[in-house]
Amino acid sequence: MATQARSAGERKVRRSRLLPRSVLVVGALVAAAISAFPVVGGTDSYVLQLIGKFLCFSIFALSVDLIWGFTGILSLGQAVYFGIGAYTIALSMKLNYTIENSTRYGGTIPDFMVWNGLTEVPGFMEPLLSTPIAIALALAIPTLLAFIFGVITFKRHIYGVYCAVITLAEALILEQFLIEYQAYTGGFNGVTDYGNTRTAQFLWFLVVLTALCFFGARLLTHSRIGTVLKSVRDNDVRAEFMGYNVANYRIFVFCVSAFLAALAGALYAAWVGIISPGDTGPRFSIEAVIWTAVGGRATLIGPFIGTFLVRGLEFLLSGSWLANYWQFFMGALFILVVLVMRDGIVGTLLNWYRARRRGAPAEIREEQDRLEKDRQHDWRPSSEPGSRNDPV
Amino acid sequence: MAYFSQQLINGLALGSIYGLIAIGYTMVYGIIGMINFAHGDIYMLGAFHSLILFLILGSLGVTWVPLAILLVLVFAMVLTAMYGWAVERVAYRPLRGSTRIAPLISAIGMSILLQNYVLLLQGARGKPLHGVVTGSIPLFEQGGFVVQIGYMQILIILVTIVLMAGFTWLITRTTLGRAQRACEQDRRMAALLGVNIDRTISMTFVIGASLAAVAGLMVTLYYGIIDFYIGFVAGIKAFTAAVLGGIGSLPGAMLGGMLIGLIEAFWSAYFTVEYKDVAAFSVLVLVLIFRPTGLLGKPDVEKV
Repeated sequence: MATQARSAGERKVRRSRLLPRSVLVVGALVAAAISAFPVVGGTDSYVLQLIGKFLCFSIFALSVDLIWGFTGILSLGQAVYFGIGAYTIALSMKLNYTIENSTRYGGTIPDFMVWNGLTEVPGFMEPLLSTPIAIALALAIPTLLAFIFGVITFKRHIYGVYCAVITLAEALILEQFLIEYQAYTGGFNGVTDYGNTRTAQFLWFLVVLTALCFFGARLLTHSRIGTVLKSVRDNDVRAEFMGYNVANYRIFVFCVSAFLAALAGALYAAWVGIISPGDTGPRFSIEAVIWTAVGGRATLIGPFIGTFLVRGLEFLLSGSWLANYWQFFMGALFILVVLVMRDGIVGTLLNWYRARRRGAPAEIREEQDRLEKDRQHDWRPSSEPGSRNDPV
Repeated sequence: MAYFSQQLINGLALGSIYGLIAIGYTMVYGIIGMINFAHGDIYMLGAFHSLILFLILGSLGVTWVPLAILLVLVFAMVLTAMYGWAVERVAYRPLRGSTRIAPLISAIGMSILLQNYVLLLQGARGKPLHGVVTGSIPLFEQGGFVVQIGYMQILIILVTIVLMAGFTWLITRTTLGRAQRACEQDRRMAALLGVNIDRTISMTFVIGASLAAVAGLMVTLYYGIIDFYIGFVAGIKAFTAAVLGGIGSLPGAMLGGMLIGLIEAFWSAYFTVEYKDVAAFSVLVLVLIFRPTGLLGKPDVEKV
């Protein structure tokens, strides 16, 4: 592999700059606009809370995009990692909040534990009393889980359809466990009433972290590893023949993505101040896939735009009579995106821009697009007979 | 022993229902290689169609139960099959020949759409239908525990056997079945030999949907209550059944369905009833990881 890296350097491949100036300028403006909001709109406003929430969701969608858009692993259970991160932080905050407000609760252990007959905080939860340890655990446990999952599945050459379904089942199992073990997790109601971190400073912090995640993801996808990841997505067999250990690359990106999801979950739990089993289930995972698909997968800005657009639209409609029909529209929107705008909003705009710049007649453009589509053999299980009828 | 036999009967009845739904998954996967995520919701639609038809028949004065069930069966199958056909036509056919991910996504969208369609029209509360088929036959008694088989369970198992026989005949003996098998093996070659691919695939969805409608009818009669959300979990369990039996294999789907039904029944009986879903999903994960081809599936041959 070392030789390949050197030869790539010698050929002096023209790479895009890590951060084009336009992205920097627009990103800085958006970040400034978001974080200036508390000054303009006041720190208590509902919109402020929404923006913070959407930023967390954007990081979550970015984590989906990294594995799905760039590596072709469709996970329908990404919320597992989000949820574990969120629950760890929520439980930690709840334990501390109860101790600080013991007069109000009449005790030093969380209310849901009292209801379930516990008299003291269980031993395995005691580390959570320390905030730094809780943060470390919230990020480390999901990453470790993702690593174990990756070793079990990717090393055994399980991916594609099977991988999607395994992740879905994982999410279902976790959701059930969180509901059943109510003495430790608050059960169906989740963890509530543990304060929150909704301040202007924390919004700044969120904006900075979101920007860091974006830059980190850009660094990753524009590196040599990113190129290999894309080749794994486009044709894993060929990548394997080129000498790359496809399984290791898959495990690596899966861990990175789980880390991002856990980060998003931890921030979300701290910001919103309520977490429920639904935030770890398959529906939420699928929702993140929808945001990514609408925004444009395999683009880094897509997940952000998709999240803000879909969730923003949901918020705008939530007051009107259309609120009841929202989920229905969501399904329809999803089908429509797949049928009409397969590359999502950003992808379609980019395609249109490139085609216009190329200045080719429409027929040629369509032909080229078709060929490009044909080359995308992402997410194709090799077990299906006759699926690889492209000349190798 | 008595308790065991009782759970065996319960498990077989439940497994028949899962098997009927699983056939829809496995057929579609076999022929176009996609997971039809909306299939669970097609089954849910089948259950609602049955319920509505029972109410209509009741208001028309058809009270003789066998006739009512037969009529509901036929009409529910036809209605649900139309939905199955429409779903394929609208959401999957335009995507044929595009990436493999595309139909799966539009299937997820379709699933959300159908669920909320029923939620909007029927409301979120469970709809009850009581006492259409009641009563049971005591089989034997042991230590004061009477093992019995309900008329409903007999009906479920009988209907499943009859349908399976008919379905096997359809696949192995008719022109349509031959076309389906041809498409499964090599779609391009089948098309060259004059098989109408689009029609064959449409018929696959129609058959799958009508079998799911029967499952929906049976569940409505068996449990007596349905809601808009039953399709999701049942769909995943049926998919588990299809994978367990070996996805793409038709006898495998039935076998897998039976096994999942039995696992669930025995798990609820001997362990905790709360974790019966977890048990089924764990089976799914374990099978996928350690034997992805399932029990009766053909081994993967990686062609390059």
